[in-house]
Amino acid sequence: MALAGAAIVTAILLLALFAPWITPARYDRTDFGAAWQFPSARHWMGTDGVGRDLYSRVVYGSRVSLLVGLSAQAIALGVGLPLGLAAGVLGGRMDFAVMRVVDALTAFPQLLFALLIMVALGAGLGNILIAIGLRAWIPVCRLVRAQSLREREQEYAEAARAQGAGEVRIVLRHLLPNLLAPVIVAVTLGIPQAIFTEAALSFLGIGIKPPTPSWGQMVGEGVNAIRYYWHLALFPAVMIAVTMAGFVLWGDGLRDVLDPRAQGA
Amino acid sequence: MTQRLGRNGLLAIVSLGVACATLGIASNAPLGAAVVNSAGTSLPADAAPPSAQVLTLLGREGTYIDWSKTVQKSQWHPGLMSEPLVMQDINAEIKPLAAERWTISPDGRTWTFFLRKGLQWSDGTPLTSEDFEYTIKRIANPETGFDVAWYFAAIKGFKAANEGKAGLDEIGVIAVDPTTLQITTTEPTPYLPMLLSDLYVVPKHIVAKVGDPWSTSPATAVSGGPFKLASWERDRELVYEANPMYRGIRKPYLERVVYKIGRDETLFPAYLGGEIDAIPWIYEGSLSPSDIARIQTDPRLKSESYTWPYYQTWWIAFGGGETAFKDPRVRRAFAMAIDRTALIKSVWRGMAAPAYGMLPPGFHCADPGRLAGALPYNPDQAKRLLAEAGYPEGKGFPKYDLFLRAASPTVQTAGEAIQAMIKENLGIDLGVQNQERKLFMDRLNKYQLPIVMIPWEYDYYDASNFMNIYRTGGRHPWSSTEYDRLVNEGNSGMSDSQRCASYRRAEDILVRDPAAVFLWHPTVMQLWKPWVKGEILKRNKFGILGWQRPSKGDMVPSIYISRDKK
Repeated sequence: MALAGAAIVTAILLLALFAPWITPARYDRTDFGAAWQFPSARHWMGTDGVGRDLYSRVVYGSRVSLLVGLSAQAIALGVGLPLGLAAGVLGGRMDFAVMRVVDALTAFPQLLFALLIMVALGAGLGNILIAIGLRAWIPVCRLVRAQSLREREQEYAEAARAQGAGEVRIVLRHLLPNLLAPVIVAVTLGIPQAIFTEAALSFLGIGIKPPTPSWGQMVGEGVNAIRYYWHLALFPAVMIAVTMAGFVLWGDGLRDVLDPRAQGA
Repeated sequence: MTQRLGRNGLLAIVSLGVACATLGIASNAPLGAAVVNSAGTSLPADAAPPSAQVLTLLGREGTYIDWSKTVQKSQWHPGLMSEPLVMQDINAEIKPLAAERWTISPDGRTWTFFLRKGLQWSDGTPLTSEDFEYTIKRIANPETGFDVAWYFAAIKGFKAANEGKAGLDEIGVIAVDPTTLQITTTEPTPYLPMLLSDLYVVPKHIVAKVGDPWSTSPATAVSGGPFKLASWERDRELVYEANPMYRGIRKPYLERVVYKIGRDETLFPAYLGGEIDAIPWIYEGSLSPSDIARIQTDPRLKSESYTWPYYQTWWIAFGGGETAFKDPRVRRAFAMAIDRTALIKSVWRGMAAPAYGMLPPGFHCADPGRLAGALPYNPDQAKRLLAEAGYPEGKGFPKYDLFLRAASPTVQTAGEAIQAMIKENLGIDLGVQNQERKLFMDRLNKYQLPIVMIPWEYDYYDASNFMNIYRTGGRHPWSSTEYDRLVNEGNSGMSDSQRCASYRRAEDILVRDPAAVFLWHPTVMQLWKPWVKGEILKRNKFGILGWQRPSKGDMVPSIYISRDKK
């Protein structure tokens, strides 16, 4: 299953990379005379209400999904890892401060929080990254804090301390390598969540701004037409589902390999 | 609840008896004799029995039923529970309703309305001219926060009071005696009755006591109209029942109106599934282009559909302040870069007519043909105009978003079509942004949005209804003293030909300046199950469907359910 996941992720990655070479038209190329067409040999997935080729839009849509998924997790890692370490290793007031911020942010449901931010800031890719990133670091931060609290008390850390090693050295040389595996898993599993949040926001019309194609936005526009022009919502919806499944399967596989303790859990 | 139904039932039997006695029909008369319902109306011969006189609809939910509190957040059928002075009939002509007759003073500024005798609220309190006076002052009161107060600005002192510059007592409305109401306007306003057809009177004795929430619960929602509120379960449904205390001229055939709450996307499936009797709404999104494609290919659905060109206009409006749109050449370039015909053929699948001016074809004073060539689709000239304005090939043009107000997916697609045309023909990158209704309206009213796509639909059959929007201080920041002068001249002219001449000259300015880029007039479609009958489903004198204002609900009393309903 993990291999299937990796294969799907690779395929999506290739789609995103080679989009201009494997599509017949740019995603925003309109042809008003060819609007509302069903799938055909010429338009594999049909066309939308302004005559844009749906296949091209679906392929280009993978770029947005991957960009959001990866960037959001980069933010998660960049913010969550140092804050988690600071809270776990330094403890005391630092720990208290970080954990209260975490509590405050988790008080809102994830999607509601993102919606609030988007309504306040307006649509757009940058704002989506802010809306998702503001929350995405929390799982990483919590994980790192909990792990470092535990690892600090481990015997190898005690031994290092006994040999006169400073806290910084312990963190860099001993804690970090031991934390790496669970963090990689958490980050990987955060990608589909970010992709889904973006899709949900765009579905509601406050995510990615057109004409940049995003699967969520395409489903949102197509869903109203689904009883007749079924293709408009179907293809991007399938892509969201497949991509999410790919990342989740891949993440699960990574966990099995990297984090033996979690196996079978 | 049971008790009330019991009493209504009893009333029905008693009224039936009375009716039979008056008509000289023996009580053992064969089937087919006129049946009288609980509101005292004789049902037509082909009507289903009173117990089946239920109309089920589905739609959005508002915060109040009360239209003198809010329009934007109101429940969409104020005419069920309120009795305006006058109403618009199926030909959009003014007919007496609460007012039996009225007179106009020789200077055209003072109107005296004489109310029907015996009108009452559903709690038995008389409905008097004081209620009307109270309603107008409540709408004007800035504390009420009424969202389209400018609508009634023709009434003397109304605007000043609404802006807090004068007292409510200075407004030109007086209850002379319980059945006489006098309204004074600043200028002669021949279309005043049209405005008053949207004045949904509220019960003074209740509102003064209960405050704004009065219309949200059956306990306090006292009705002056043909129906009253039986129940309101938030997020689920509202039920109205015939009001036995109603003494006006719109006695209903229906016993109940059930209004389910649901999103637009659920309308068509609910209709197909037989859960609702009609989709009477005519705003975009109630039936999507794909629903319409399906209806057009299905003979049964096609026979249940009613379609007509609607008195609504969509346009692009430009914001105030220091934007690139300050330069009229930029606005002209935008107007000439949009191919309306292609847009209508693709996005709307032909269900719209191109708009060349503000007044929709067939509307009061409309003459769109003369404006078709004013700023036609011409990409080359559009490019030249843009270059003259200092943005050759769109270079250096600031980045703007085209804002849409809670747009349906189709309107969103239309926005993207315009985005594509602007990019293709002018080389300008325009964003498209859909915004929540309240936020959008707040920013629009503060003139903060640089470029928007927005509709206006008619409330009454008079050109003033459209033309007043663009007067200085109206919905959009564009301003022209000549336009204001011409519209005011049209508003107070007493002959129709004179008025139309002024409005057309004003419209010329609007189109040629241009203040707006006019885009399309929608062709709307309604669906009605074959068993729903009534005058409003007949074609009117314009050859279009009688029920032009479904959201007001004022014509629901003329609907009945025929025996065809299984």
